[in-house]
Formats: sequence, C-alpha cells, structure tokens
Amino acid sequence: MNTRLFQSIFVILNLMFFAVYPAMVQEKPASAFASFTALEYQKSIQKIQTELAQLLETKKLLVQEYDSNVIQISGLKQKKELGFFERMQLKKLLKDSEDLSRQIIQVDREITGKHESSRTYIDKMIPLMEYEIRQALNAIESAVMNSGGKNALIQKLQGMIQEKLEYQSYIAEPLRARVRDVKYQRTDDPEVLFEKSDFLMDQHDKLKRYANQIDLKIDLLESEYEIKKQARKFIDDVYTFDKDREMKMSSKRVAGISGEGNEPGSAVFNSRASEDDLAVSFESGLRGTTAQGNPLFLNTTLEISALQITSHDDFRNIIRKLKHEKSLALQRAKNMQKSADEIRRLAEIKLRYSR
Amino acid sequence: MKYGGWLRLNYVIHDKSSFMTAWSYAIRKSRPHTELFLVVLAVSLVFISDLKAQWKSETRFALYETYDNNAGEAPENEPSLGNNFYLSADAQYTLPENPTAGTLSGQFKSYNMLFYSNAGKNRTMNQLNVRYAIPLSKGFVLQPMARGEIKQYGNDKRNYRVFGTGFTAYLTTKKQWMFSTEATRTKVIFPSFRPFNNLSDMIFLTVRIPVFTRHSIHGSAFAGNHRYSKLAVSNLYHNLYMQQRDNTFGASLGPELVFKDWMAHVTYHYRAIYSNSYGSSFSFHKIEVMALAKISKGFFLKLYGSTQKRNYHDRVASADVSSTMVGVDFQSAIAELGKKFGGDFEVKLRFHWFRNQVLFSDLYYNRGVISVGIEKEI
Repeated sequence: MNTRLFQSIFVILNLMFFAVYPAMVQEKPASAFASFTALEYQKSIQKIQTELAQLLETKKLLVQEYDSNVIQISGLKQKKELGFFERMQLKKLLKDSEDLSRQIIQVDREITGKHESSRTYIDKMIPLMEYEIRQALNAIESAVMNSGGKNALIQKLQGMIQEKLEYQSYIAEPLRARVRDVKYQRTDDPEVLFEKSDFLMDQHDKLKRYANQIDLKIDLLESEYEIKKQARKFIDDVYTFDKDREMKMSSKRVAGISGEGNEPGSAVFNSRASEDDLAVSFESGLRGTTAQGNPLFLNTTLEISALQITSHDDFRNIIRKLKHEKSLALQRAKNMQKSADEIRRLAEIKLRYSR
Repeated sequence: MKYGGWLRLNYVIHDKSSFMTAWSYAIRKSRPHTELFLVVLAVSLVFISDLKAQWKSETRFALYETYDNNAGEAPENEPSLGNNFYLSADAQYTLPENPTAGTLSGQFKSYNMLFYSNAGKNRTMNQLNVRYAIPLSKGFVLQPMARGEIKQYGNDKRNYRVFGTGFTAYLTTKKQWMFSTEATRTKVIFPSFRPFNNLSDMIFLTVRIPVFTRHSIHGSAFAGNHRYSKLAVSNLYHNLYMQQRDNTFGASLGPELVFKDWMAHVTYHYRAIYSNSYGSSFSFHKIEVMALAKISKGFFLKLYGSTQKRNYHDRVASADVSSTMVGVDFQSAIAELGKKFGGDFEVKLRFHWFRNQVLFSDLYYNRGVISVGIEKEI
C-alpha cells in the first residue's frame, strides 16, 4: 500500500518536474552565478534588454520614415508652384513628420528609462556577484578537493569573473580620464592574469589621482567663488552706498549774464558729466555685469574643464558636475581594485594547481 | 521684438517718461512702508525659488549702526548718528525644458540711510536691474537689459531718477577670452534741477584676457555723449541758445590677481569730456584699487581706494569763477572687516572716508563714516 502510494507520488513529482523543467531552463539565464537574487536580477535585465532591442528597432524604423518624409518635403518645397494635390500632400507630410518626431521623442524617453532600469538592477547585482566570487575564491583556497573538482570550480570562477566584468563595463559611464579596462579571457594563464591584475591596479591608482585632482579643483573653485562673491558684494556695496552719484554742479555768480532764466547776478549752474557710467565699466570688470553666478566669473580652464561645462553653467552646476565626475572615478577605481584582487587570487590558484 | 520696435519703445519710455513718473510717485508715496514692501518682496523671491527648481535667488539684508562725521556733506563737519538698512534681492529664472533658451535675471536693491539728529539728510535709494541672457551660439550671449534708480532725500534737492536700457553681447572663446560690447541709453532726471536732466548714449567695449588660468587683464574703451536740457554757455557765461552737449570717450586697463585666499583688482581710467558749454570740458586720470583677503575661515578684510586728478580745458572767464575748477580731486578709501557665522550670517565693521567738492560751491568737504552691522544672506 505504502509502496504503491510512494510510487504514485514519485511518478506525479517526476511528471511535474518534466513539465516545469523546460520552462525553467528556458527562463534561467546562462549564468555562472548561483545566487537566486542575482539570477532574478539577470532575468529582469534580460527582459529589459529584449524590450530595449525592440525599442531601438522601432526607433530605427521611425527615423527611416522621418528621413524619407523630409526628403519628400524638401522636394516639394523646391518646386516654385504647388498644385492643389501637392499642397495637400505637403500638408499631410508635414503633419506626419510632426507625429513621427513626437513618437521618436517618446521612444527615446522609453529607451533612456530602460537604460536606467538596467543600470539600477546591475548596481544591485554587482555586490551579490562580488560576494559569490569571494566565497568561491575562499572555498578553493581553503577546501581540500580533488583536482577534478577544483578545476571545475576554477572554470566556474573564471566564468563568474568574466560575467561580472561584462556587466561592469556595460554600466561604466564615460570618464574624461583615460582609463582602460582589461579584456579577461578564460584561457589566460597565471602570468597574463598577474599582468592584468597589475594593470588594473595601475588604472585604479590613476583614477584615484584623477579624483584627487578633481577634489583640488573643487576646493580651488569653491575658494575662488567665495573670494569673488565677497568681492562682488563689496563692490556692489561701494557702488550702492558709498559712491558719490550726484551730478557735479557748481554755482558761479557772474555779473552781466543775459539769457533765458539767467538774470544778472543769478546762479548759473555749470554741469559736469556724472561718473556714473564709469561705474559700469569698473563694475563690469568685477561683476561681469551679467546675471548672478555668471560662469565667466570663474576660471574653468584646468584640464578637468574638458567635462561638459558650457558657458551657461553657473558655479553650482560646475561643482555638481565635478562632484559627479569624482564619484564616477572613485566608483570605477573601487571596482577596478576589487577586480584586480579577484584576478590576482585566481592567478595564484591557477599557478598553484599548474605545478 | 524687432530692433525698430525696440527703438520705438525706448523713445516712448524716455520721452514720455510716464513709467518713470509713475514709479517715482509710487516710491515717494510708499516710502514709510518701503522696508516692509522690500522684505515681503525678498521673502517671496526666496519662497518662489524653493518651489521652482528653475528659480534661483540670493537675498541679502543688512542693518548698520553708523557714526557719520559729516552727514550734510558741508565744509564744516556736522556729526550725526544713524542707521542704514540695506536689502539686495537677486533672482534668476532659467526657462524650463530648455535651459539654453535664455535666463531672465532681476536684481532689486534698496538702501535707506536714516540719521537720528539730521532727518533732512535721510535718504532712500532704490534700484532695479532686469536682464535677459539669450545664448545665440556656443560662447555667444546677447543680453537686453533695463535699469531704474531713484534716490530720494528727506529734505534736499539732490533727488534724482535714472532710467536706462541697453544691450550687451558677450563672446567667450575656448581659451576663456571674453569680449563684450554694451550699448546703453540712460535718462537722468533731477526733479529740482530740471535743466540738468540729460540723456546719454554710450558704447562700451570690454575685453578680459586670462593670464596663468586664474589671473586676468581687463580693458575697456567707451565713447558716447550726454545731451542736457539746459542751454550751453559761452566763455562770458551767456546762453548760447543751443542745448549743452558733451561728447566723451575714455578707456580703462588693469590686472586682476586671484589667489586662493586673496585677490586684487586695479584699474586705471582715463576719460575726456568735450563740451559745447564753456567750463564743462575736462579730462581726468583715475586709479581704483580693490583688495580682498581671507584672513581665516569666514574672516575677510576688504579694501577699496580711489583717487583722481582732473584737468579743466577752459580758462576761467571771471575772477568770480573759482580757480578750483582746475584740478578738482576726489579721493575715497574704504576698509571693511567681516566675519561670517554659520555660512550666511556676517558681522561687519566698516570705515569709509572720502573727500569731494561741496555741491554749489568750490569748497571741499571730508566725510568719514564708521558702521557696525549685521548681514544675513538667504
């Protein structure tokens, strides 16, 4: 009785497993990682990537249609005179183009949104991947295994590192500092891995120096801004309540003056030009006579100014951009240090087992 | 607005002066409540700037207690205690959606000086500047602007109103050289001395050349004219039946040195005025120096000084005409010590001395003002 019951349950479970398994296999992304959350993130990222690919295809088609409309419109516009139907056609084409451009903008927004979502998932996933890689490295270094088991684990580890680096390079924002990532290959031998690890550490140091340079620049700009703001306020005050703005006039009592309103002996005012307009030129030297926080006021000519700082940016914007660049550089440096450490440990393991 | 339209508007504003009259009337009548109005205005600006991200504002309130040794600006000193209230509200609005479409900036300044023992010399000055910066291409900005200013005394005839409009074009090169051209038209009205009302048209050319990244050399040149309501006079002080017209030109040049904890700005000016009215032509050389040092964190020392030497082109016609017309000097020196607390609260000690010619006479007066005050920035 019991045996039959167990057999039945076994058969049902088997049937259920084989019914669900293909779907599981299909949905599970090919990943070297085992963490359930990381895999869930990967699934979400893959879904977003599929949608992104569709959106890019849609955008491509829309842009093609828009371009073809533009060609037709310019062809019609070159004609000296348009007939009734041509005018109707032109009107329709213009309307279509407007609709298309609206659609392209909409698709662009969606694309940006998808990129942002991917980035968010990857940002959350990377620490999980790093944790798993660290666990795997520790396991290989400490556990006693046969060479077959260790080789399998090393293979898995190589896959994990490669996968993580690919995700990291996907979300890496362009930096003004010239840094290069390494291309990791599973077949790399220990010597090459050591070189790649050293190279990553060099890049890490370079990024740290770059972040320090930005820090100095921020410090310098903030100090300059404070000094110049104080100077602007001071000059503003000088020209507001200390400047003698009155028209210079002097009365001359002169005998024998004739003329309208000037009887002999009356006061004749001799006017002299005001200095007020000079104030404009001096003020313009200090204040730039432009709007508050004029960027022209600050020197942004250091190398780092190669950031997308435009002449319309004000001080706060410039500082915000520099701080963003610094945080990117530090984040990238941190990632590189971790990757360098992982690769170096992997190289050491490979070296140990190759002997 | 097209240029023609702008000119027509300019003409209407200047020649009808209706806007000026209405504004000056409003300020005159609302004087007792001016401070309250300004406070409400400044707070509103700050409130708006908090609500809307594209609004930026900077508001300064300052209150000084002063000792003035010559409030009446007379040859004989007339010491007086008093207080000053100062407000400056800057607001900047960047068009939403497209920040490169333009930025509208407005600045309102009000300065009120009250004397406890010499109420007749109380004065209020209100200034409004409005600018609209339109970036036309990379590094090139066109900026129409308008400004107005009213100075009103308690009991003194030196009240005046100023109204000006103009355009500035800025060009910044990749190497941060900056060129600007400014064309302005300014109307000055003296309600008690109407003959001295004048209309000025000026053109300025300015260049700023960066040197070793942080320092710069700035130079400017200008030319223009002033047309007065009064008639020009001959060398015998007879009216010439033509309005006084002064043509003027000048230039300035100087370095600006900026270091981490201090900066200095020096400017040499030369200006010449050629008038059709006898005795009104002159030229002068002038030097202005401004230095600022950060002594320690939040502790600033600011210095300003200016001196000028004038030369009048016409010889005096009569023994009655003062010989002091030749070589009129003007000197000014200001020292200010400020200590900031908590980032936006500052305590200031200020000393200002200047020497100038007395109005309506050829005598000189010296004036010294010591102020202690607090300033709050929002």
